[in-house]
Amino acid sequence: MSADAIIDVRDLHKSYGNLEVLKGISLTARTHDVISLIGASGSGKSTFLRCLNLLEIPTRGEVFVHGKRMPLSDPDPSRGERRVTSERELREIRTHLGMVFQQFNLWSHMTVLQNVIEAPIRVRGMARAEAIERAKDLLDRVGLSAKVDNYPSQLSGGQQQRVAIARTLALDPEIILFDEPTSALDPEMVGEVLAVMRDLASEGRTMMVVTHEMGFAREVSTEVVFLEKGKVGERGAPEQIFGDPQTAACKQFLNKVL
Amino acid sequence: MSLYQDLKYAISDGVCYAAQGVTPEGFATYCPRYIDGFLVTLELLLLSSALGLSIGTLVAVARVSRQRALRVGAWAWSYIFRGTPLLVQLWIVYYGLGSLGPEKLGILWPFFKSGWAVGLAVLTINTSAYIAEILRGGIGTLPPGQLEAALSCGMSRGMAMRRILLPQAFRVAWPAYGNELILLMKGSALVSTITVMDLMGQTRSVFARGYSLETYMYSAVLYALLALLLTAGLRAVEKRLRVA
Repeated sequence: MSADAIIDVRDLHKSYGNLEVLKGISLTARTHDVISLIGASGSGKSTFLRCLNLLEIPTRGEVFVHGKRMPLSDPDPSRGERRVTSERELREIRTHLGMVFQQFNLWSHMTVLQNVIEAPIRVRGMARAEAIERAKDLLDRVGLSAKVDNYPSQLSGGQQQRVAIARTLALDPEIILFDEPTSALDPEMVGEVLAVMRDLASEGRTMMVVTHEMGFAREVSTEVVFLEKGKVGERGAPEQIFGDPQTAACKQFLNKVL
Repeated sequence: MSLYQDLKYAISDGVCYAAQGVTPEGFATYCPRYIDGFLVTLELLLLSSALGLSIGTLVAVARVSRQRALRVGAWAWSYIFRGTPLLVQLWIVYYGLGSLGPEKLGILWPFFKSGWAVGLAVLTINTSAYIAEILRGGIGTLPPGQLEAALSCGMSRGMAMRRILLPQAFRVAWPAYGNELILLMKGSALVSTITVMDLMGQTRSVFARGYSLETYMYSAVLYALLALLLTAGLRAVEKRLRVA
């Protein structure tokens, strides 16, 4: 593992009962990497991403963040699900792993501004004035400075997702995990969200993106990982995956979606 | 405390002075009793709903806890106090436990001998059980993504509950809570059976003097008036809670 690895995943497995969704995935994200995870639905992309910040508890395998193991007990089939061994440590690590969801998940009882300042104030203990100033900058960057006092329900899907990105950026995470960020959007709003994500990539943000947007994956990624039935089917530079896929499964998948 | 008593007397004097001549004689004659009772009902209602809301919130949180013991305890609380009649609960505490007398109850005696205190406690516990279930339902309707977003920002479950889930659950549950508050108001009339001179208690004593058929009508009107007041209050809160 290289020193600049932000996330290092080793042999990750996840089962629901007898259904094995992830069958041993290893992956490393280094600073400035933009890794796209592609694959058919049911291939385990989202589950994989959710295992990284322990929204799902992996059955086996480890996740290291900056070389530090995520606080999980050792796998022990006789005891069922693994336990989080330190909630405090987990919370601290989570603030460095931003996450953007398919359904945005903005807090519906808070205004746009409140959504963005909530975690900096409550979790980081940032002064309110500073949090507001930073939030306004971030909302300006995603083009929503006019909407600070609106509630999520008053925004379009694309606007909500841009707020969600600003909310994540407010904690200044070292890596942002995007879980199908444009899949719930009307087609005409996909572009505005991808534009923001492109911006983030070009300024060197480390990102891991589960996506069906092949154009984005091809142009922006530093690495593309094709998942198939819970395993890495193929991985490589975007030119290689999209230009000259090696496996039959990957070829077939790309034929279908391109 | 005596200042508060004075205030209550002043209200009842004022109202009854204004009521002279414009209300039927059967009411005007006993007006101070009705108004005193009305104020007792109102104070029991405000106190028990406020306390019940706090306790009910805690029980609702325990109800969705990851700790099994807490979940079971909270379930039992709701089950017992929703599953038995309020009247039975009042009588068990006041006449049942209260009959142990001052020797056995010791420092608890002042509580058990006071119908008002027992009434307040039982109303509070009873409504807390309903509120807990209403809130639990509210929490259950929230999309799981609301919690996940909070956790992924580094919040603890407790903080996510306080800052994200409960505020939304309250908004969802408010209309159902309004219903419970009205039911609590009507249920509160039962405290008259443990010697409390609330509106119902005063009405019964007025009736005992003249056996006049109107007596209970006046009391019904006052209860309905109280319901109107509560509905208006609930609506005002609902407006404030509304997310644009």
